[in-house]
Amino acid sequence: MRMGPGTCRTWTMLWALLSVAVAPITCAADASRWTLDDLLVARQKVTQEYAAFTQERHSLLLERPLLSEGTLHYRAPALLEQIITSPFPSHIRLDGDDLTLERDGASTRISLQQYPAAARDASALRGVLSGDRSAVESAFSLSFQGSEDAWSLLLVPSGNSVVDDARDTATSESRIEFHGTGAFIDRIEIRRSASERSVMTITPAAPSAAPATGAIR
Amino acid sequence: MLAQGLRIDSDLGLFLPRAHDREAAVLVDELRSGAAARTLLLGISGAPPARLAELSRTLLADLRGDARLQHASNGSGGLPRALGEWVMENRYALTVPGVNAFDANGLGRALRQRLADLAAGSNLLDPEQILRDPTAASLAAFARLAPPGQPTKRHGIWMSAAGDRAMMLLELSTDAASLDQQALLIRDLHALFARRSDAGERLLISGPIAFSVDARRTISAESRRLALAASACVAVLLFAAYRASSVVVLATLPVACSLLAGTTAVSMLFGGIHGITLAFGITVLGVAMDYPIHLFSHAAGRPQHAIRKIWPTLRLGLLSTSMGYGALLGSDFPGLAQLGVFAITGLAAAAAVTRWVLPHWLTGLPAATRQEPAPVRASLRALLILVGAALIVVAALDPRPWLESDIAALSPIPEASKRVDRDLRRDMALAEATHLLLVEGQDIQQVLQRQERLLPALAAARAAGELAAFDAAARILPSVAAQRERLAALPAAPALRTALEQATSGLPLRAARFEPFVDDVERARASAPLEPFTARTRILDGRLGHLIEQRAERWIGRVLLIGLQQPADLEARIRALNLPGTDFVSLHDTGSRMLRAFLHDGGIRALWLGLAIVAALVVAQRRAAVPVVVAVLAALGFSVAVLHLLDEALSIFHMIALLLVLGIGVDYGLFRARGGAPGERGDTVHAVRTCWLTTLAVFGLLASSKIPVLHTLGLTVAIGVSACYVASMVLVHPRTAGGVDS
Repeated sequence: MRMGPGTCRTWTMLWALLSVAVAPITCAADASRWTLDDLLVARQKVTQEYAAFTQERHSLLLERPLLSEGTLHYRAPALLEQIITSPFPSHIRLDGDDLTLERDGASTRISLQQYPAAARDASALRGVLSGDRSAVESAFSLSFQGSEDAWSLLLVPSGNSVVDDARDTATSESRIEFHGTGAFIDRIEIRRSASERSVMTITPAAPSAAPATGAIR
Repeated sequence: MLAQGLRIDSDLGLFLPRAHDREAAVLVDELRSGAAARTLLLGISGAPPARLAELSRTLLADLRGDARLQHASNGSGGLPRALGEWVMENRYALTVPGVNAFDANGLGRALRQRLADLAAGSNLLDPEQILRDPTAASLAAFARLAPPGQPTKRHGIWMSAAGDRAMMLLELSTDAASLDQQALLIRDLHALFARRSDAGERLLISGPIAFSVDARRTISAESRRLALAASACVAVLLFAAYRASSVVVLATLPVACSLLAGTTAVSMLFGGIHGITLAFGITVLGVAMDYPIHLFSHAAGRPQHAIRKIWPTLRLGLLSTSMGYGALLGSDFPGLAQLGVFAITGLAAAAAVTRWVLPHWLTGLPAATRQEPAPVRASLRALLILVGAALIVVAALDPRPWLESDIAALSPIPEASKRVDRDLRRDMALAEATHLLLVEGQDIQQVLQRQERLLPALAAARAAGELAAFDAAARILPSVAAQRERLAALPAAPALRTALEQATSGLPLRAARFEPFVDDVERARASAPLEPFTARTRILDGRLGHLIEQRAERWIGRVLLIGLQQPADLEARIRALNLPGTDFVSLHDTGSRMLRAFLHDGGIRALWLGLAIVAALVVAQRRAAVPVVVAVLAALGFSVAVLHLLDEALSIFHMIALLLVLGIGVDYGLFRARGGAPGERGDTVHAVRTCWLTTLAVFGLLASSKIPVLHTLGLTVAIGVSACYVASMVLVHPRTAGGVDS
């Protein structure tokens, strides 16, 4: 069948229409496939973050959950600062394995290297925040699910770095769970056992003195 | 090597001077066992940090269960559970509570802190522990127990600051005490590492045990090498000198007897022979060789006659050399006393064999007519004397220090091993104490109480940055008196419960939940104080054992001062406290002082000996003794000058070598001065020259040794005997038949 010039144009237009129609479908399909690696890559791009938080601490010790609130500051790859405004004003700064605690005018410095269990958890937290998979996988096994809009990452101690430490408070039920949207983590749940857990809800915030760089989508 | 069947020690401590005062004893102890003497330091390098960490963990896992090890750590272990529980049990005895820690206000403050930590997620005590210990006294106790100086950690294990070396610390059990077992362990460690590692990854092992094992291997290898090389050289020289293989064979007889006699005597007197002594002893053979040489040179077909002629001179030479070695008998170094015995008996045996056995067997020696060499030309003599004198003057003007002042330089450990050890210690950030406070008391409690009065000043110095860290027994375990005070100050249960009610009001806590705390306090109030080295404090024995010990009837506690910036200031402040029984010791200064004292002592000894030798000579030879003495002194002066110019700071080992040189020099001088018939003089010169060459060969080989002490001995004697030879040729003239030739 001989194609006339008109037929060619029709075919071209049909093709163009088809590709345009198909494109959003494929894009949408891509958008729903958000993996752990995507999260980590996205987190690696975050250099600074400011956020506000509220936290609920449940414990065997407490008669009722302890509610606290304040602000958070993260700077890649290993600096995390927590300013608790209530009920016990404190300023906590974790730089790598060095923990500085300021409260009531007194400042205490601890090296987490002396507390292997705490160092392990801090390493995992840093790992997720900075997108460093190896730092997390050294002591935890990861399971990731969800989409870019709502994902969750579960960390369970893998028993790899077995630490025989009198101060190790981890149990078989220990876990850390992160929830977020894109590169922004909006909830962290740390659980030691059924009775010992804390849930921190995080919202983005502008830093008081510096422009917010925020999370990058 | 006749070493089979002999007990050979390798305790390097035999070559440390005996300590005469407490400070010196402390120093020797520190040198012997800076960290525990049973500790091995391991360093793994040659890979990125993550891989090093993996290797470290694998190795540690492999070593678990090895019965030879009491303890193995790479920083990955946390606080041992047993220690954690013990500290928790005894926390109120071990720590000083804050002011009003147990009243409502104090408890309220403490509870708020615990809650704040809980909220922040920075709680180091878990909830169960908080119910027992709301004031966190256990944390304070842990802090006091931690030894000063912790290495950095990466990937959860100890690593050097640069991250290029993973560190491990092994403590051997007391069962693995023999050097053989330790050597086996080190070999197994290397084998284990080889199985687990890839190419390019290295394991370095250091520590007193590694030194001893290494030293034994090096010493035996060196001794073997030296013995073989020396024998070969000497055989060649003898053959060249006498052109008869029977001579070479016969020469071995007095030497062998010398070795046998020496080792037997030392074994009988000391119960064993030190490896280094044996190596030194081999060098004695270089001197023992002289006796048969004199016989061979003079024999010329009539050995019996020859020996009788030269015997007086030979005997005098033996006497003077023996006196030289005799100086060592009373030495402060046990190893050197062994050497003295070895040498004297060995040389006596060699001389005896030469006198009474050898002449009977000496047949077939070609009679050689040896011309007496022309006397040294006056111009050459003048030149030599001038050069010698000039060298001495140059050396005298050289500003470098003459005497060795660093006691570490006496160590028989090769430089390479020292370097490895330095690197590993630095990477391990092992805190080395440079200064000590010695606190003495009639019993352990008195020492602890005295130390407690020092602690505030030390804590202040640390806070001010003048002191990096300190370690003391009283910091770990307070005195019984202090414990009683604290325990008595604890509130009774009813008062505590009331305080808790008040403290928890307004907080999301219930006072009734803190019964475990009340129980613990009640129990602490009723308990007896902890005493060191008893069943209840067994867990602290390791830590305390190094810091406090009994000596004679008294107890001595060491306060280790690490990183002290201004010793004089702290010393003044401590003195101002007017504490009895307290001494401030600088380890480096004490070492230097010991060395100076010893050198001074040795110097005096040498002087007396020198005078004794001169006296002996004068008595024996009268005026003929003068040139001999002059020659020997000139040679000694020249040797010292050359050593100084070669940048060798004189230490005790140089002194010993020079004593040997003195003996040999006297020997050469006496023979040179002997005179006799003209034909005979040629023989004498031949003998002296052959002696010189063989001694030079043996000690020259020694100078090539990796072991610093052997190197020193070899170098000094090689230079010394050469100087003696030249001096005796130039300054001493053979006696003519009628009188003295000047």
